[in-house]
Amino acid sequence: MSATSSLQFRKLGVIGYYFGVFVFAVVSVVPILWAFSTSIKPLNEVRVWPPYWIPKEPYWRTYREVFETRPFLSYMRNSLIVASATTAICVLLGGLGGYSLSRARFRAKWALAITILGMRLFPPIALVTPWFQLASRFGILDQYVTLIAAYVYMNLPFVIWIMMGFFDEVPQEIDEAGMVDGCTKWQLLRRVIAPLAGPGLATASIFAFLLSWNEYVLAAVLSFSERCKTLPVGVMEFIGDEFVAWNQLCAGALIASIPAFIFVLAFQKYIVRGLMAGAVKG
Amino acid sequence: MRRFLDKHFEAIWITVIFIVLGLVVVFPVCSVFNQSFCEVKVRYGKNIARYVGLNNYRLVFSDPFFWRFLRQGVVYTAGSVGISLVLGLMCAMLLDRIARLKALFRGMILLPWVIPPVVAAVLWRWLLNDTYGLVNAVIRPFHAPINWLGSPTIAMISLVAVDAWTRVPFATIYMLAGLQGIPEEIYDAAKVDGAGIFARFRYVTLPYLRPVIVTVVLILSIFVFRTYEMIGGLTSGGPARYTETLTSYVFKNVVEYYKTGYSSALSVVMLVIIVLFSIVYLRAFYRKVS
Repeated sequence: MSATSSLQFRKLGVIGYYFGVFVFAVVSVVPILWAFSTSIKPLNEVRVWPPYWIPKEPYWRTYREVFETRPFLSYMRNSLIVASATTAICVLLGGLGGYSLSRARFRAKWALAITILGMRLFPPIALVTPWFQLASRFGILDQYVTLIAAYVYMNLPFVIWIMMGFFDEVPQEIDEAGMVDGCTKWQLLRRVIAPLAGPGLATASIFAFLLSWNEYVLAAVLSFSERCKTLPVGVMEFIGDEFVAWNQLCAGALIASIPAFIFVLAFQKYIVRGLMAGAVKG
Repeated sequence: MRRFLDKHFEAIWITVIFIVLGLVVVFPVCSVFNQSFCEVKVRYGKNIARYVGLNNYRLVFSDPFFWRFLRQGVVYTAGSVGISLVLGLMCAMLLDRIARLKALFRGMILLPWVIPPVVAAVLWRWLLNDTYGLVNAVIRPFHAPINWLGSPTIAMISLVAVDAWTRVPFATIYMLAGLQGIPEEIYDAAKVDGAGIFARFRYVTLPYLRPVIVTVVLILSIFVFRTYEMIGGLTSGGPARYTETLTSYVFKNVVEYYKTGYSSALSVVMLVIIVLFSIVYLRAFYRKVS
């Protein structure tokens, strides 16, 4: 008797856990679903009280309007180029740097690692002015180079830190075996170590890409034409309008979130791992 | 040559890294410090800087806006970090107990953190819209529509809540990892000793999670304190600047007022605040951990 009731109690408990998790999940997702619902309504259906979820007829033209009335295609291209280039540079330099720091055997190593991480303490907002002045002095305002350089600064320390953690997990004996077999360091890294640290490289790439794709403050100051503006800047522009076309804003916001959706769907494991690598290891 | 490269591989790349980071970090940082002692004026498209000593700092500390935005920033940061911490812990404990569909739920819960902060901010600006917003539609059976972003206190509450919405995932993932590190046997032992759910939470879970909580609070505090996107996208600092923080003040000084010297001084003060907070915080909490 008591065994069954305890079992039932436990079952009830499990349902409770699922329900709780479900509530969190719903609260997380509903705003995004609502954005989708708004984005496929024509403007006269958006401004209706009380609002409803399902539009009378899906109005897909909102997405076309976003691309027609605003240079969203350019924004997408810019975001893609800047984020990809940043990722490539960060992963290459960060991989080499992380490996070197992981294998280095001098005493100041930890001081160096901490210095690298400490560089991120400086509020990015504070660096906006010097970046702007530097870029204008070299005449590279509103150009990819500037944004990429700024994002390398923002992401490289973090990538080095992540990669260092991952390389620490690759046993040193593997290096030594490779060296005995007559590899150069470069071959060793490319053929042996890099594949072993694959998950680390994936994690670092995803983070570098996502953080530079999502960044707003520096992009807002360092770019001012469609030649260089990125998607977050484009999304923020909707708000400056006197009359906000909420359906277009939602469409634009969802377009800007595409990488986020892809990464969560396909590479969730790496996101979780990267999140952890930042501080638990420190 | 090749042997040299091989032998000093690590040293070479560490040097390269520091040169790169030095170029992109050291120069701007030095420049900020330098300009915080200057009055910078733009004449004929050129910056003309004149040293004014500590004048900018004097201006900062006698600026009523500075104190007000500092206060508002602290309220915003404390509110958001507090909520994220509590909800993140709750969410992690729930996630820890379920077996099926875990990846799906975790993915859904991660979304607010992965989408661009600007997107989160403008979406909530729409959800909290006073005339057509979803939130007002949801509370319609219970309450008249609320102007979520229109009055000082409620706007701050909205800002804190929305910001927390984007930070809970971060806290959850950390806490979840922390929870998974607690050995099951300790719970069993506590149970045998007659500890109820709350006693187990108080005397097993919390002490074990302490290092994780300490870390999460520090990281989140620094991140929230220096956030601009959320403020710019959700409230634009309004109404009547009641949701502005030091970060948005710096942004405005740079982008709208072109007060380079003043904004540099503000930035330095912000940095000092962050560093001081980190030191005091770590002194107070970290030693007891290890």
